[in-house]
Amino acid sequence: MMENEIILPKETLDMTIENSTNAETIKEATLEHDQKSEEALSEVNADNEETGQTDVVAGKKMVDQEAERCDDSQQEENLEEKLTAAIEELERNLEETIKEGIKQQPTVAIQGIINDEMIEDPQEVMTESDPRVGKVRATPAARRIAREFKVDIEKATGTGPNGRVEVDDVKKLVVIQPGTFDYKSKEPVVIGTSLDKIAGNPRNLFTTPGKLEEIPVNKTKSRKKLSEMNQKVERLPNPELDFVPFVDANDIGKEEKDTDVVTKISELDFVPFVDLKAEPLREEIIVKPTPMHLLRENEQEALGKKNKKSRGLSRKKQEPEKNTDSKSEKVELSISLETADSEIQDQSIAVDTQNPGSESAVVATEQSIASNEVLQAPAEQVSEVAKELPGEAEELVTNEISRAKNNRSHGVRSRIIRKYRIKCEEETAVISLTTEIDMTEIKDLRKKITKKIEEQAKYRCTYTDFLLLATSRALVKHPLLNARREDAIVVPQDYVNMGLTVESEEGLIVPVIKDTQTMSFVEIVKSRGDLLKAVKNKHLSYEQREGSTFTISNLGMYGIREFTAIINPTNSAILSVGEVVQRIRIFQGEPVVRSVMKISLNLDQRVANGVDGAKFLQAIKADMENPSLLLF
Amino acid sequence: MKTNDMTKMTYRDAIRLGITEEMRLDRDVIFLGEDIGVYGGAFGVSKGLLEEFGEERILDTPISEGAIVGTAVGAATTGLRPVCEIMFMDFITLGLDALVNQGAKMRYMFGGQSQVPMVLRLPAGSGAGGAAQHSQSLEAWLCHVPGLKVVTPSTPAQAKGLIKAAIRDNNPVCFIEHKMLYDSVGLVPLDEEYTLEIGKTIVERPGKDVTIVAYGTTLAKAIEAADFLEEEGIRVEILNPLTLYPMDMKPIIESVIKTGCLIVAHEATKTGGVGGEIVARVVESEAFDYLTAPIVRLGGLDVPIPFNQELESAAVPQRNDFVHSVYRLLNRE
Repeated sequence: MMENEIILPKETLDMTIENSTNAETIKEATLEHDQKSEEALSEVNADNEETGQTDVVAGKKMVDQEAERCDDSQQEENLEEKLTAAIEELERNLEETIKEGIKQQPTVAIQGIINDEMIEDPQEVMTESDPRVGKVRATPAARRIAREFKVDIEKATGTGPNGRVEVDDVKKLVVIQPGTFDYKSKEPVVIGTSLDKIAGNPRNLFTTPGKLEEIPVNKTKSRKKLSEMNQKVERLPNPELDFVPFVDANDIGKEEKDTDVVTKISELDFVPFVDLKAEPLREEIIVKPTPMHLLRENEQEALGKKNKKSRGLSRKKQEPEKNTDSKSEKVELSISLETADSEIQDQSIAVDTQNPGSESAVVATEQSIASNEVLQAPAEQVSEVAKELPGEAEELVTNEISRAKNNRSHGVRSRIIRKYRIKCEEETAVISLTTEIDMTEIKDLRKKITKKIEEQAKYRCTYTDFLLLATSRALVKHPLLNARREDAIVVPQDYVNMGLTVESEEGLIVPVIKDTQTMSFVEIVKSRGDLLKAVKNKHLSYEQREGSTFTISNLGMYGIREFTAIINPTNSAILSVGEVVQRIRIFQGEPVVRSVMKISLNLDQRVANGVDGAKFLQAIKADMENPSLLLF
Repeated sequence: MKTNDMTKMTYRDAIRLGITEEMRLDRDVIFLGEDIGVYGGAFGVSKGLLEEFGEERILDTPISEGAIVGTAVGAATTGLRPVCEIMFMDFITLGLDALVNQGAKMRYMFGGQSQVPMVLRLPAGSGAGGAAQHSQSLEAWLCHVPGLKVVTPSTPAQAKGLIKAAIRDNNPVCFIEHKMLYDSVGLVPLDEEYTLEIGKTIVERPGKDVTIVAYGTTLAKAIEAADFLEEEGIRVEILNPLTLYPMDMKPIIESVIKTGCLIVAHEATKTGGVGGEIVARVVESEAFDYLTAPIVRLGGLDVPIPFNQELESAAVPQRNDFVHSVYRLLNRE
C-alpha cells in the first residue's frame, strides 16, 4: 500500500456552491457501509466531470475506509475499472481544458491509499497535472507594460522562446492588434493612440485633477476647434481661399490654385489641420488606410465627377450642426510669425462667425442625401468591426466615425496629411517656432533685485533664471512639451526637470535642475549656480545628468541672436535662447530703444502641434514681458 | 607628491607601487607574509621592498597562515596597519578563525573602541595550472562575514587605487588579486593621493542591449566578448563591482532597467557564488519589472579546478560563453 495523489482539474467555475453539498453527500456516504463508500468513490469520479472539486478530507477518509474494507477481489477489480475510467476521463478533461486555454486551472487533490497494482504508473498521472497549464509565460518587463497600459497579457501572442510573451508582443496590443485587420481591406483600422493610454495610466497622472482629464478632453476639444477654424477659413470672402478646403483632389486644374493659397497661409497654418494626435506616437506602427481616408475615397466614388459647387453645398449642410455644438461665437486664428527687426510680419486672421441659422436655409437636399448614404456605408463597416471588439474599442470606433464625419469634406487636408505621414515614416518632423521677447522690464527688475538675490542665493541672477522660471510655469500648463521619452513612448510629466545645455570639458552636456515647477526664483538661481559649479568642478552626480523633461539651450553669450537646437532624445521640445540686444521698437506708439531677445522652440510634431508650441511660447513671452505676472 | 602623470605598468607593479607609497606615507604600515622579503613574494609583488623598508617592516613569516592572520589582527588592534600576503587564496582557510571570529568582529563588539585596519592580499583564480588547491576563488566565503570588506581590482590602475584605499581603511579588507592578471599592463596614475572609494561599482563599458557584471579575468573575457558583439551591432554594458562586499548595487540596477537583460559572471563556482547574491538583489529591486529575459549566471563548474589545462579552461566561463549567453538573451541563437 502506498499513498498516491491524484490531481483533478476543475472543469467549470460555476459549480462552487454545489461543492459543499457534494462534499456532504460524500461524508455521509463514508459513514455507511463499504458498498456505499464504493459508490461514493464512483460518485466522486463521476462528479469530477461536473464539479471536479471535492472535500479533500472527506475524500481521504472515504478512501481510507475504502481501503480497509476492500478485501474482496471482485471489489478490487471494480475499483480498478472505475479508476482507469476516471483517469481516462481526467485526461480527456485536461486535454480539453488545455485546448480551451482556461487560465488558472484550479486543481483539487484527492489523497488515497491505493494498491500499486491499481495504478501501474502513477507518474503518468502526475505529469498530466502540469503547473504550467493555463499560465502565461511572459517576461517581467512585458508584464509591467501590460499592467501599465491595462492590456490583458493573456491576449498576447508570445514570440519568444517557448512562446514567451516579450515586451514587443505586448506593445503590439497596446496600439493595434496586427492580424486583426487586413490593411489592404477597406475595413477601417482602429487606432488607440498612445496618449489615450497614457492618460489612463495612473503613474502618469498630473498632480491637479483638472489637468488630468485635460489630455483626452483637450484632444477632442482642439479637434473641434480646428474644424471650426477650417470653416471660418471657408467663409472668407476671398473666392480663392474659400475653395481651398474643397478642391477635388482629382481636379488638376484647380490644384495649382489651392497650393498657391497654401503657401500664402504658410506652412505653420497647416500644422493644426493635420490630425497629428490621431497618429500613433510609436514610430513602428504606421497604419496606411485610416477611416478618414477611406471615407474620403468612398465619398469621391459616390459623388463621381460632380462639380465643386454641389459639393460645397452639401458641406454647408453640415455647418449648422457643428456651430450649434460649439458655444463659442468667435474663433480667432492667429498665426504670428516673429521675425527680426524690420522683417516683422504678423499675420492674423480673425473671422467672425455668422449666425448659423441663416445659413442653414441653404441646403442642397439631393446632395446631402447622397453624401449621407456614402457616410452610411463605411459606418456600417466600422460598426461591424466594433462588434468584434470589447466595449472600449467600440467607443474608439464611434469616435472614429464622428471624426470621419467632421473631416469628410476636407479633401485637401487629407492630401496634406498624407504628406506628413510619409514624413513621419522617414524622420522625426520638427517644428520650429520663434518669437521675440521684450526684455526691458526684466532688465529693470534684475537691476533692482540682483543685490538681494545675491545675498540670499550667493549667486548672481541672470536672464536665464527668469527664463527658467517662466518656462517652468509655462510647461506646467503645456504638459505635452514637458515629456520624458522612452523609446517611442512619450510620457508627459507633472514635474519639470529642466535640462540646461552647458559647455564643459567633456563637451556639451545637459545637466538637469529637478522639480523647477516648485521652486521660487531664489531657489532657481541657487540651484542653477550650484549646477554650473558642479559642472566646472566635475562633480556632477548621476542624478544631475539624467531625467530632463525639457531643455533650454542658450548661446546668447556667444552673440548668437537666434538659432534652433536639436531636440534632446528624451524630450519632446527644446528652447533655444539668443542674445539680449538693444533694438528700436515701437513702444506705446513711440519708437524707442528696447532690449529684446529671441527664443526659438523646436518641437517634435509627433508629440504636439504648432499651436501647442505657439501657445507655450506665448505663455513664456507674457510672463517675461510682464514680470509682475510671475507673482501669480 | 601631486601629479596628473600616468605610467604604463603591470598589475603586479601597481600593487607594489600602492603598498610602497603607503609605507612611505605612514610608518605604521607593515607588510608580512611567506617569502615576501628576500625572495620578493611568490608572484614577485614585494620585490625590492625589503631593501627599502628593512626587516622591521617587511616580515618573512613561518609557513603558518594562522600565525600571519593572527599576528596581523593583533598588530592592527594595537595601532599598526598590517598588510598580509597569503601566498594563495586557498590557504586562507587556515587563517579564517583569526579573521572571521576575531578581526571581523572586534570593532563591533568593542563598540568602536578598537579598530582592525588590516589588509589581506589574496591571490586567487585559475589559469596557471595550479590545480585544485592553488586555483580557487573563495570570495563568496568572505562576503558572507559582516565586518570584512572584500575588494577585487581588475586593472593595474584599480589595483593601485584599491590597495591604497584598503590600507587606509580602518576595517579588515580582503584584497583579492587574480593571478592571471599580474602581467596585465595598463596606465596607472602616479598621484600619491589616487585612491578608489571602497563600495563603488563602475561602468567599464557603456552599452544598451545587455548588462554584464563581471570582475577579475572574467571581466577581461566579457570585454573581449563585447568587442566581438559590437561588430554585430550588439552593445553590451559591462559593470565591474570593484567592491564585492559591501556591493554598490545602484549602477547595476540602473543598468538592468536600461537593458532588461543581465549576465552575472565570475570564476568562482556558481553554487553559492557572489553572482547569486547580485541576481537576487536585482530581482528584489525595481529592476525586476524591466527584465525582458531570464537572468543568466555564468560561473565556474561545481568541480575542483582540474590540473589539465584544457579542463581547467573548460571549468570556468570563457569568452564564447558570454557570446552565446548574449545571443540567447536577445533570442538570436
